[in-house]
Amino acid sequence: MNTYSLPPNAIFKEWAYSNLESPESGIEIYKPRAEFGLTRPRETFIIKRNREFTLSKTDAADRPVRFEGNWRFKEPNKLIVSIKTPKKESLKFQFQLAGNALKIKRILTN
Amino acid sequence: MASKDSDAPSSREVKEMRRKVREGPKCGTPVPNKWMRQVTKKARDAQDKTLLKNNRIVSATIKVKFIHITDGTDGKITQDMRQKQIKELNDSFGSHNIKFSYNEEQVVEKKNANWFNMGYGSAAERQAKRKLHADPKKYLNFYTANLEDDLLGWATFPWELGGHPDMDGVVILYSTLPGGGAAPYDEGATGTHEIGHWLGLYHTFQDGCPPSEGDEVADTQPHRAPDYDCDSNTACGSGSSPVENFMNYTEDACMTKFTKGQAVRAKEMITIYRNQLFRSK
Repeated sequence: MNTYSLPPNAIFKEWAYSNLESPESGIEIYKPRAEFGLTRPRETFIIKRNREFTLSKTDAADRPVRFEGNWRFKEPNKLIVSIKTPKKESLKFQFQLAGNALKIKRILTN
Repeated sequence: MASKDSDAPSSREVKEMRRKVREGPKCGTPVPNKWMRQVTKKARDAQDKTLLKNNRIVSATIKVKFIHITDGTDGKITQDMRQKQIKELNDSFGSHNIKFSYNEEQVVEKKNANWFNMGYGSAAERQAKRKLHADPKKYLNFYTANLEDDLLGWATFPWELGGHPDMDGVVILYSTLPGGGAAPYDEGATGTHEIGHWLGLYHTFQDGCPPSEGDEVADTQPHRAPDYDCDSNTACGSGSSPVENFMNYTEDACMTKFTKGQAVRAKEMITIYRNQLFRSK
């Protein structure tokens, strides 16, 4: 039987963009989607235990676009997601759970 | 009605511009891709070459067709709410000589529980729009419904009109109209924001900081991400992000203005893509 390393349980939920930690840090703070209630569009993603990953955004006229992919965990704190967005980003980020927030720093690859 | 500068372009020039609009994309264009950028750049170039300069609409009154989809219980919009929405639009765009009107007798209310809960790109959206739309060359179709995906609204861009005329317009969460109860988004700014897109405006945070092309408007402060409240600041470098701008993502109470550059761009877009709004009787 294969064994995989897994991220912390608390990461498995729907996260919504909250704010930038600071302009210089490049760190984006996400919070559980449910915390926002009614809001203007926010980038959200769902990380599932079964390695599915769903990224949801809105386009330049507020229309939703959704991308499906799969994630892979690299210890201690990297998540590598195998979907390609229109901007040719491979989603790859370092994360840190801080209370009820998820801090992520994207690693851009082309 | 629209008033225009004199010295209109030749009919050949106008015909050529219309041909380019008519032969626009036939499929969905979800982000401001290269094609969109080229088209809008063409508008600015055309202005430099006097086509727009001589024909630009300097003032306009846009006729709004309200189409309210309900489930029989929720989604009903009162005359008072419509009037306040139009007032909000005129307060927002009016200082730039873009005005809005509607005819109460032409308001459509349609009961259809399936259409009421429409999502973007869904069969419900397509069916509802095909059945209920007014001629998009003459009217701004302003749909209200209960939207999937927790959305407050969405819009179509003017350069999509040629390829998808039946889909043209704005779709707004019914409770965001003034007094609709979707606080803090119930003062009508969602309608204003989506109509901004319908007139060709991008978000002020489009594509983030320079050297990206941003929102293609020179007098809006570029910023790296949306602002969601009045105290936010995501400005690129020094300064403040435009939390008061209708094309940001702040709460209704924060949103109070369009810039002069945004109004110029909107009028260019009307001139190129939506000039028939003012030719109807």
